[in-house]
Amino acid sequence: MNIAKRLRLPAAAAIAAVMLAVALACTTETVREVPVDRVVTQEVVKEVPVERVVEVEKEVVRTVEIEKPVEVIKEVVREVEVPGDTVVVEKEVVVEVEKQVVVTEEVEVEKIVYRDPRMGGTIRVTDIQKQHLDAAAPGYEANGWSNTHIKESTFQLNAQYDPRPELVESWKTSGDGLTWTFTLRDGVKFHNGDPMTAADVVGSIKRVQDHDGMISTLVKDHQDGDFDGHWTAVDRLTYEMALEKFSTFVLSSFTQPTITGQFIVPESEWSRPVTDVNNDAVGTGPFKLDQWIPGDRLIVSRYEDYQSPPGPPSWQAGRKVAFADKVEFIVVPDVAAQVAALKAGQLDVLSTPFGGDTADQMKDDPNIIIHTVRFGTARMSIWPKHSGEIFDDVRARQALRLALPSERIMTAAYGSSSYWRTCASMWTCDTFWESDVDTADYNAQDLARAKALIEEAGLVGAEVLMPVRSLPLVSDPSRIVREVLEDLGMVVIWEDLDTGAWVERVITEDKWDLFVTTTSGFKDPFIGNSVHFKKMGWIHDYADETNEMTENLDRLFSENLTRAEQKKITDQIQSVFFRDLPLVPLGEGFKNLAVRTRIKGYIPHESVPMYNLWIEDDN
Amino acid sequence: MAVGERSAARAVPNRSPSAGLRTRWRGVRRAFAKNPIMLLGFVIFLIISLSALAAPIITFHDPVRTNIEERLEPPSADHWFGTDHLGVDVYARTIYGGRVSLFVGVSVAILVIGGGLFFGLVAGYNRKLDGPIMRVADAVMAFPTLLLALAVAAALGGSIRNIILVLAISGMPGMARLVRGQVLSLREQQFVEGAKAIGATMPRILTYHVAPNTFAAMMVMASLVFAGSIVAEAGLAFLGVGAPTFAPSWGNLIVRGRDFLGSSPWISFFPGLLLTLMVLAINVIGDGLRDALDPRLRRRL
Amino acid sequence: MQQYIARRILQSLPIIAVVAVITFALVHVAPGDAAYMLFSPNVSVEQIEELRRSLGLDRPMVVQFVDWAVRFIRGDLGTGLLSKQPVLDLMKPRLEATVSITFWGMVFSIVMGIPLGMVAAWKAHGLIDRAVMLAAVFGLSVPSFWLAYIFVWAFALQLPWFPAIGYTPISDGLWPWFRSLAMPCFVISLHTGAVYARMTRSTMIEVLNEDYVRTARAKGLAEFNVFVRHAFKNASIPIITLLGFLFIGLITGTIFVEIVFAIPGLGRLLVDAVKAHDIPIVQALLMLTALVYVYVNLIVDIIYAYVDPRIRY
Repeated sequence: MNIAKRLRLPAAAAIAAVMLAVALACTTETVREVPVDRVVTQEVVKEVPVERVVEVEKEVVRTVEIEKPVEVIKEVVREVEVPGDTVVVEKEVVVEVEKQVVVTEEVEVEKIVYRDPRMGGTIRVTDIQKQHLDAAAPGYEANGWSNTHIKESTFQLNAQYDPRPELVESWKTSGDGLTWTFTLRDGVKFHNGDPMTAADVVGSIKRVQDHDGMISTLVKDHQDGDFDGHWTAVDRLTYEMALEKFSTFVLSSFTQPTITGQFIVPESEWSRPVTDVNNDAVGTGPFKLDQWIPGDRLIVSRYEDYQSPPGPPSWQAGRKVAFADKVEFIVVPDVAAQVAALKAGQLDVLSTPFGGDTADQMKDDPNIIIHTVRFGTARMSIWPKHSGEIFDDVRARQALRLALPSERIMTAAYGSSSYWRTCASMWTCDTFWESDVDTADYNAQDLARAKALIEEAGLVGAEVLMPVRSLPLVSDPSRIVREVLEDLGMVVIWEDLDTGAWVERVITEDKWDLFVTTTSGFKDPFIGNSVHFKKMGWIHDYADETNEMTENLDRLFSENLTRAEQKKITDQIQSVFFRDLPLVPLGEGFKNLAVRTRIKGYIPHESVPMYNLWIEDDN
Repeated sequence: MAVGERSAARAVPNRSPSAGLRTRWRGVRRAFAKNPIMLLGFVIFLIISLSALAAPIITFHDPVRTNIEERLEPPSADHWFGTDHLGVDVYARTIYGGRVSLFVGVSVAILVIGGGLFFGLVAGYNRKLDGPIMRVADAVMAFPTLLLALAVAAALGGSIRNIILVLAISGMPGMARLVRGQVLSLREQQFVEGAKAIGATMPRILTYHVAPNTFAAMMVMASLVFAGSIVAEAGLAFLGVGAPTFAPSWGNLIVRGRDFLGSSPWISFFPGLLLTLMVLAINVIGDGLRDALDPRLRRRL
Repeated sequence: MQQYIARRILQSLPIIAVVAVITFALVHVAPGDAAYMLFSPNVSVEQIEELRRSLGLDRPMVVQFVDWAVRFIRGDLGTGLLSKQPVLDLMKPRLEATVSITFWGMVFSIVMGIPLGMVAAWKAHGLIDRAVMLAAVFGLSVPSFWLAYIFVWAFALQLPWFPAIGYTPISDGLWPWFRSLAMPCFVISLHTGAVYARMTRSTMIEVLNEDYVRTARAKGLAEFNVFVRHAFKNASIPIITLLGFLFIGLITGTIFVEIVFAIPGLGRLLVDAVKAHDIPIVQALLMLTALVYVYVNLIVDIIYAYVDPRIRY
């Protein structure tokens, strides 16, 4: 009985009470978001009246504002004419102007209908896990998309992948295309209140140029030695860029197709080296950072002093309006959980990649719209180690191309056939650059010829090291590749690795022979070019023996040619590519997006920014 | 997994000298006769184990080879459990998966018994080594099993061998503690004193007198470890550090099949069901053994 | 007693030290490190190496460990390698979620486990007993994440009773807080609840055979009174001792539900940190679990000694 009496000290309850106390203590510590000042919100509603936005739509339909910058160039051309004494210069210049006009003529204007835009609300969207918020430090791809809401670049791509000015207002170039002068929009302020100046642009670009594929190709690879001197801030809003060599991709190198590494940031960020990762996330964009809980969510809210670039909205370019008060970028690690949350209405948009089988599970939900976007194709390829001991033999690479069944591999990765396509061309299919040169062996599934090549190369029984990232998108197709390799008489040593371990195995230790991966593909030689071409050998810079590839690329990037002439070169590049096979393309997977019907203004593209979207009034 | 159970095994009651293994097996047989649920559990265990062993005979499709043309087919006469997203027969994968799970469970149980017995006996008999061994055991127990497994698997890479190693390491301290407790209480017993008196050596005493006396507790612990390992294998697969992705293991099947719960539930349902049944059966057998071998253990394990 | 407590606290130090060394060694042996997580085709090997140098990851393991240990002893848990956030700041907002899950998991397991175990003991070896025990074994046998998906499908999508993902902090109201935790906590409490039920049952059966229970019955006390007042109070001692271990079991369980229900808790932080080789975070969290383990056990032992005067340390 004694024991029983003492037990009245409710031991279990004591522990429970301690835990509850801790829980309570925590809640008092976590500061809940202070509600945004309502008065300000209402003011904004007045500032962006519905009528004005509808006007935008009319503008879009009738005129193409984009021609303006080209006119500027024309003026410049005339200025140059005065000191120039030869007619040849003038002719060259005229050609260039014509070319640029041709580009603008191709623009198809995106029709944007703002029927009933509404301010307010919070959009909840999935995001991939990011390690840091720095837009220039290695690994910025992971945070690039959410960063486009906070930060802006000098130029940005529109829906047709043409560069459009964002922070820049106008620019002009000398007749030889070597000196570029840019003028910034006035009145743009960073979220910290500092005005954005030419010095910030120069500083920001210098910070990234070392490892940004395009800018370093533009500036660094075309000359030797110190290239910092090629950027100068002339005055508060003007800066100059000096090139040593004519280049065909100047403006697009300030943009990137899905992510933007060249964000313009304040001095507090650009004055630090890239390895000194900076997580302040201050920019000039329509949203500003509220809170970042690493591994969980990034919360941004409307930046009230935002100065939008002019022009019709088109993907990442043109006018931006932050209709939503807040956007929450949430990390939901599990795809099945993402689907459940979207169906339950706890998420509004799935922006993280998901396969066709997952899309199929949401198709029948009346509250969800699935977009399968053909712009956002990911190229699935085999990367054989061309400097290794097995696949240094071109016959082994050719055998892979002959044997691998594209349809089966793509189905394993992306699901039913409406979520991918086979593409025989080296250049992304359905683009201007698509070509059928030397494509006969693609998806031939000719095991006999492949086997003969393997035997000829003496590789029967060779041990192929295959590091596989533990991602279904990669590991499922890898299983089929493994079976085919075994059918060809090779021995596959399969190794499941998480991202960090995979990088160590492949990059640092260089212990691999082949792996399957997806990249963004070759949509356009002038977007992301150096990245793709130099990294064709993945870690070993690729160059073909005859140097044909390099010569062709050089011409493409530094000669002023017509589109037809450029196409001829890209066809030649494709021919060399398929002869040498630095990588073996398998097919193209589409990008899937899922969005709740209450989100309006959603125009599917390879990624969809969360500005210019609003939440419908009901629910 | 067996967090609660294994740790509760700290103190073990004093046990009288026993007639040895033969009487114990008689107890086991009697237990089966008296306990129908245990018998049912044993039958389920036997069916799943035998079918796993006989997998090549009783399945009609390759458990690894993909066949994309037949992907995501619902259960049919040809594919009893349907096919998965790569067109592999789920029935074949599930039956072969039993092999992996059984192999993992049995190996872990053996390693845990062997390692636990060794460290427990050493710690129980050698006062100098007792401290260090128990401190390390404490530290290992202070990691929740799965966290330790995750860290080790991340360090050594995901393979069946590593899973076994990981689970054995995290199971060993519990067993070592149990054995040590037994040894500490038994070494003062008369029959051990008697054996010493007639000149028996320490290893002999340990082997012939102490080890058999821990038999009951060890069998029950082993069944818990066995069952726990099978569940843990699935848990590790969920965290992405399980068996190689192409290998048919119940964990892999359930984890990969969860993405298809809304459209093709059979991919994860059948292996999930089999796993649950198997673990259920082993636990029921363990309970029965515990009751039969040593009713006093009932409270501890 | 005080001496005993002091000794136990001293004994915990080597455990913590061993945990720290094991953790550090494991994370280090693992291929890859934090800098490699940032690799992409756009990044050169040199940049990754530069980043490793700037993070101090290129130093020998022993140097890194000593560096970490010295700072730890000074009370500095360090910062996440890439997020640059102090580990403490990373843990704070997540602590609430994990503590809440553990709390409700504990409540659910006690509320389910103890009455079920008592009922089973009351009708020992009867049909109810068998049914309850089978249910308990089932709770031990089913993988929790698998069950979690089935629950989401049933109680968030088919019947929209509970949110499918996420955690609502307690400051948003008690009811939303509980709703967001109900499913995950129920799922993880099945396992611990089963352990409780089994434990309660066997202890009760034992106690019911004791002399004083027989005396109480002989005195003519009502069966319910005998059962609850006399038998259960005594049976609860070993049940209390289990609390600590169940607590640790729940911490493991939270990892799964935090992933399935996308709850930002310490379990997910740890899994992410292990995968990203973010040593300061892994170290801090595993030390925390080890500390909780050691001290929960200590508290349990103290309570044990307090309620049962026969026990002397």
